[in-house]
Formats: sequence, C-alpha cells, structure tokens
Amino acid sequence: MMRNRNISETTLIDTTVSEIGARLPRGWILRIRERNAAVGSLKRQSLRIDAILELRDPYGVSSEIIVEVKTNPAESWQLNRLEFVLKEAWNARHEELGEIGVRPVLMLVSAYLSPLARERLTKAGICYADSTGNISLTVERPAVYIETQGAEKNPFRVDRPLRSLKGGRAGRVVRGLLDYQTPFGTRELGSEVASSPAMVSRVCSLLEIDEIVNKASPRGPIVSVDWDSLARRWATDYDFTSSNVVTSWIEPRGSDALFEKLRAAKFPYAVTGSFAANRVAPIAEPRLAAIYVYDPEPVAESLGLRPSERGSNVLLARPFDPVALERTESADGINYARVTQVLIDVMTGPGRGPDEAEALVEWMRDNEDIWKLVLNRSS
Amino acid sequence: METSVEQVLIDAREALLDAVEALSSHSDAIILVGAQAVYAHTENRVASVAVSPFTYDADIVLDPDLLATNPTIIDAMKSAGFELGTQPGLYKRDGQSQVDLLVPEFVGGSGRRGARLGVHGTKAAMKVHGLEGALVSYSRKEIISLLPRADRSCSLKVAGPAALLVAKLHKISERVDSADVRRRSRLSKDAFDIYRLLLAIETVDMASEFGLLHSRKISSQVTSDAVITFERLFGTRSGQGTALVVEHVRDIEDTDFIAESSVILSNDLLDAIAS
Repeated sequence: MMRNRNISETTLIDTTVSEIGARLPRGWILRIRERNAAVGSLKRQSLRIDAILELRDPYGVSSEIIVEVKTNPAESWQLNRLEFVLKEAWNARHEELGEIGVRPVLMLVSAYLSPLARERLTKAGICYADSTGNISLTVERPAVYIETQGAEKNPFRVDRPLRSLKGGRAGRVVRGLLDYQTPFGTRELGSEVASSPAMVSRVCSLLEIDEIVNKASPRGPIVSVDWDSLARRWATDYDFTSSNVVTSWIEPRGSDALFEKLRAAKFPYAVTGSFAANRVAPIAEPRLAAIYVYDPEPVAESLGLRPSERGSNVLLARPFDPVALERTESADGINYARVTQVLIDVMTGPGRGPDEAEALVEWMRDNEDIWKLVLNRSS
Repeated sequence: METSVEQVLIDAREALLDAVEALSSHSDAIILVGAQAVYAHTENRVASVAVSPFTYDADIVLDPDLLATNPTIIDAMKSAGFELGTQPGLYKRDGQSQVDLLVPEFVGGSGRRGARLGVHGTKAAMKVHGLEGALVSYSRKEIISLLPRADRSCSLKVAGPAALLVAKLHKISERVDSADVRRRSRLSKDAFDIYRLLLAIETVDMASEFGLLHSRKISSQVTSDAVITFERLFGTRSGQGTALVVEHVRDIEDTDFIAESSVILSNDLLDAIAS
C-alpha cells in the first residue's frame, strides 16, 4: 500500500488536475496557472497558496481555482486552519479582482479526506479531491459539476500503540480528557472534540497504565480522569516554547495598550500564560503576554507589534493544534484560552511559571464545578 | 493619611491653584508647563506606567502680550503668600520653592535672566530658552485639587505635549553634560516625563503638533534644535536620554523593556516628524 508520506504536494496537485481533466467535456481545459502563489494586495499581508488552477471552456469563459494541499490524510477536525486560509485567500483575491471579477473557487486537495471532512467542506462551499478518488467540484461559470466516490476508510492509517503525548493529535485528546466531566465514552469524547475514536483510545491506553485515566471495563466508558496528574504527565511531552511556534514581539506602549487593541481584534486569538493565569488566580502583576494566533506575522502587523528579542513583552504562538484556540473563555472583551490550556502553558512556559501553575492548580481544585465542561450528549 | 509622596503632589497642586487664583486678572496670559502639565496629558491614559509622578513646583509660562497691567504680577503673587526669592520668577511660600513664573526667551526682551515685562518690572518672571512652543500650542483643561473631598478646580491653558517635549529636551540638553552631579541626577525625572508623553500621546497627534510648532516663527528654531537633540539623546539604546529614562525606573520596572520601548516610540515620532 502507498504510504501517505510518499505523496508529495506536487504529485497531489498533478494527479488532481489530470483526474479532473479526464472527466471534463471535450474542448475544456484545466491547467495549473501557478504553484505556491502569492495572493493579496500589498496593503493586506500577502498569503501563500499552494496552487492556482485555471478552468476554461471552449468559448474562453474561465474561472480560477484556489488550491490548498494537505499531504496527510485529513479528518474533519483538522480543517479549521485550512478553511481559514482558503477563506482569507478568497477575500484577498476577491479584493484584487474587484466586484466585477469572476469569483474564485476554493479547493482542498489531500491524500485522503474522511466522510466527515468531505461533509464539512461541502457545507463550507469548498471543493475537494483526494488521492483515493473522492472528488467534488462545482463551478458556476463556466458551469461544471463533477462528483466521484473514492475510499470510505483511510487507507493510510497505521494502528500502533502510542508511546508519548507529543504532537497535536494527542494534545487535542488530552485537552478533551482534561476539559470534560466524566463519565464519557471514547466515541462520545472523540465526536465532541473532533478526534477519531481510535486516537482517543490510543491516548487512553497510554494513560490507563498509570491510572491517570480509568475505565469501568476494558471496552466501557471512561469513569475518572485525574486531571492534575494528567497535566503533569502531559508536561513531560509538551513545552510551550517548543511545541508551539513561538515568536517574540514588543508592544512599545505596554500590555494595557495591547489588550485594548485585542478587544477590537477581528482575527481568532486566545490569551494564555501569565495574563490568563493571573485572571483567575492572581499572584503577581504579569508582564509577558502570550497569545495563540493562527498567523503570527499578519497579526503582529495589525496589532502594531515590532519584532524584538530584548525587552519583548508579547509572545505570539502558532498553536500545536487548533484546540489551543477552542473552548476559549471571554472576559472583559478578551478571549482567554481554556484554563486547562493555560495550566499546561504556565507549567512549561517562560517567566515565573511554577508559582503561577501552583496557584492555578489550587484554584482549579476548588472550582471544578466552574471550569469542567459537560459533554453535549445530543451530538 | 497619605504617603509623603502623595502629600508632595497634593501640596504642589494646591500651590498651583493658589497662584492661578492670585493671577486671575492675567488669566489669559498664563499657560501651565512642566511636570504638572505632563501629568495633565498623561494621567488616566491606557498606556501609562506605574511609576508615580513626583514634582515639587508649579511651572507657569506668561505670555507678555496678554498680561494685564493691574495688579502687578509680584503684588498679585504676594497676596497669595508667594514671595519672590533671590532669582527672578522663582517664588517661595513657607520657605519652599513652589511656583516658577517663566517667559520664553524669544519674547523675554533684553537682559540675562529676568524677563522685561514693562509695568511688572524685570524680576517678576525668568527668561527660559525652549518654552516658546507653549505660546503656540495649548489647550484648556480643568485642573482639580487633589485634596480629599476638596471641590476646587480651575480651567487653565495647558501647553501641548509637543511643546512640553521640546521644553524638556532643551532642559536636558543644557544640563546633561554638567559637571554638577546633583543637577544632572534630577534630569532622570525630566527624561522619564518625556517617556510618559511618548507613551500616552499617539505618534500622529504629536507629529502634527510638531508641524504646528515648526510653522510659527516664534517656536520654529527651538523646535528644530529640539528634534536634533531628541534624535541624539533618545534615538538609540546607548543615547544619554534613554539611559536617563532607564535610570529613573531602575529596580522598579523591566529596564530592558523600557529602554526598547522608549527607543521605538522616539524613532516612530522622529519618522513621523520627518515624513
């Protein structure tokens, strides 16, 4: 079987173009106009897109297709960022072309797209293609509609026991285990946090050894999670500064000015670290603001931050997984990361972390009823 | 009871209000400058620092063209208990120096220290270089008493942030190389006042006020000179102005941040002035 890591971005795009090309009526052309294309005007931070395709009918009517590639198989819960990037690209391109220009078509190409992922893309109005033959392409002008069925199960999946909690997929499950009140089933949790049930099982198997997670029976629901130990266990495999892509910046007018700008922010973000920890369990005036954002560079520009190694007072972190920006809490007009995320970040982050972590754990112990979430049983 | 630092501030504000009341016949001619004017612009702003303001005296600029003739300045001040000291324009009350009446050099007439003010004589106010901008750029602000439960205030012309910046730059530039260590050490407060202004006032607003100061004959030269001084003292981390700002907050604030922030804000302003 072909392993997914062998499929390159170039191959995926080429295969997609020829697969779709073979299904087009006579005289129609689909070609790659540009790979790794920059879209967006200068005033908007320009965005890199994996490819722009051009679809042309025999009368010369054409449309462009903006393509983002995910070389690994994609589950529905992994699409947040890709959807965001595609929508941003659409906005930027639309701005460039103006109102009269033909609206570009968005497309995601991947080694494999799960049924849920495909459903989600269809809902979001994004076309797709994967290497197993799942294709959905709808273009209004020139009008064309192609839909083909490929694999229903991920042919690239390899099941093997998990050895650590490193990485975004394990981290996402750990956050789920930390955040929700027990009991819950692995499938139930998986669907709530958009992880595969298989991944939930693998993480639980690893944690059951140390009795951090306990099940009623081998195939039964998870009845208890020792969140304090789980956070400490996670901290051996997670580090705020190395698990996330962290860059340092300075807001020359200080943190109050930064938070004032965050209140008006139009992009997704979540404040973590000292500022978030001190909000619930204050111990000392925080100094260094740590913020999760998907795209640090344009965010820094829109906030007026300057890159700085010395004297920096802001860290922008591209998250290890979108879960860092999920289940956030809003207070005083600011979005804060979930307290469980804040805990792992102050435990492993820079500054006076350990003291802050201790104070936060104490607060969390006394206030489980406030921060523990109830799983949405209807889903 | 308040801490002594706060008491000093309260007293300084009371002295200012007393002097303004005493000079009510000349109210159009008086413009607040100095530290109390800096705080009027920077207090309650989003971008501010936790270092408490610390000032002893009230600095007031007189516009010679707008002075009334009666009562004379010295008599009016005397009626509120302020006695002229040995130097022109520096008034004391209860043995403490409290109110300085100043006239920008450009309009101060001949003579070395005392401004030539017609019926008011040559001792009522001191001539100072660098304050010219206060006559060009100011806005009226409500200045209130800091006494607990006091209900006293006055509406007063307050020099604009750029005019205050220019004045502080001249003061620092004249004294920074002084051999007198005590004279030099007090400059860190002035340098920090510059930083307070840079933090609190939007760069574009400050730059447009600089444009105004440049455009008037009376303030044009002092403003150009101040911009050159500003770049030399505050434009880099190793500049003497940056060093003074850091010196003022050593042990209380993160000095790396303050230095970096001061240099960035200074250069932002220099760029905005040049464009």
